[in-house]
Amino acid sequence: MIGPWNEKDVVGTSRKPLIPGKMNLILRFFWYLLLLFLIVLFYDTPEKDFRYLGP
Amino acid sequence: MPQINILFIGFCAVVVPVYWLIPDGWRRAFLSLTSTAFLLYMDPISFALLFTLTGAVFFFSRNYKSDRIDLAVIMLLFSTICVIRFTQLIQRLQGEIHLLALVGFGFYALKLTHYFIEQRSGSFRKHRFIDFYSYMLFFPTIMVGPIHKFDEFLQSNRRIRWNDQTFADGLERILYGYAKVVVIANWLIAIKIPTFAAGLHSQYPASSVIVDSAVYGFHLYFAFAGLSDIAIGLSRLLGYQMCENFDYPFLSRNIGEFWQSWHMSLSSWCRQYIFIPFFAKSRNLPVALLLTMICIGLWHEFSIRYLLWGIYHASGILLWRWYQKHLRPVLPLPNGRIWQGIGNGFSVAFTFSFVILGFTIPRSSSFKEIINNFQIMISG
Repeated sequence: MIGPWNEKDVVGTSRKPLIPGKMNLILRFFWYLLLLFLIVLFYDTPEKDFRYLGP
Repeated sequence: MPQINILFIGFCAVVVPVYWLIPDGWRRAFLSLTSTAFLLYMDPISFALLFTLTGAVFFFSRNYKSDRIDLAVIMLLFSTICVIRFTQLIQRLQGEIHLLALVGFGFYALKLTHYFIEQRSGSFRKHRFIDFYSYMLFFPTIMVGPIHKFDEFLQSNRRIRWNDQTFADGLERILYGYAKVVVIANWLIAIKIPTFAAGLHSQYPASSVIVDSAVYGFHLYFAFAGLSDIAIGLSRLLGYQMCENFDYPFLSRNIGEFWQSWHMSLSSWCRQYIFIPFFAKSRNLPVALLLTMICIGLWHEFSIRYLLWGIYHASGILLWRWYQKHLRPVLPLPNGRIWQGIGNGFSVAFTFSFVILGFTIPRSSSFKEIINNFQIMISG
């Protein structure tokens, strides 16, 4: 969805990735790994009251 | 939210592989069974109410075809929403929060109403109770939406085939969803930014009110959009295509555009079942718009602050329409791409400020606090 490696833009239309080929795969792999790392790192952060959706 | 719970992640990690391993014909039953188990585990009272309402709506949408029955069923659904919301309001006023916290109640009440109205008007193809039941209890979307339509669900039901790309898209979407909720909303916006902005409170009271409203709005957006991403991604893992809920709302160029990109499934529902019918009957645009926005506000919570929030946005939309119709044609606005770009940038900034200021209303705990916050902002 975001990032120069994606083959689709935000509305789902196919596009040529800015970084094609093997480099695309490597970048994508590290991007997901970074996100996963951040999620695990901050997973225990207490949740703020999410009042908008109601109880 | 339960979606962030490790138990929910574990539940999905078991359900999704089993779902694809069993024969095609069993998948709908399996999905209904797992959704039932999920809701029973979350809250048996919610399940009992949802099951009863689902059965009643399915039965009455097929039998006793008369205007009186139609009205009675819609009134029954409406009064159920009112009774539950009023009970929640009284409990909140008495300080007993979440005694009647039904899982996803606001969402399935709207789905039931949509189903009943469309089934009565003959919009759906022939289907069985299990289709409707699996739609109502579809566990990825039951808690925070999107409020998807039954015909789209039926269409997805017929096209369920394993697809590597859809599955990968689903996983990617879930990852983005968790990142939005855990990293951006819960950590960065809810903890880091308020700590950073704490110094403003004593020095610049007006700025602190604006920053608090911005923090509230951004937290809301990232948490809600993240949970919607998880729901949409999880649906894709099961082979279903869900409607979107957000489309960069803070980059909208006007308030009308904002409501077309913020909680899109709710605003689309309200447009279809409140605004259009009421406008068609009354031919009074301001009243139809005001009624719709008040309903959107009160759907979140029965309270003065959400009522005012609805009126605030309705006034914004009406003012914008008035500007478009009367003021803009007579304004000597310069033409050309550069000027258009500057104009768009100004429109985005203006709409963003309007929306962020509006969040001062629901984030305040009482009417007095709302007045107080606006007074601080005006006095500087």
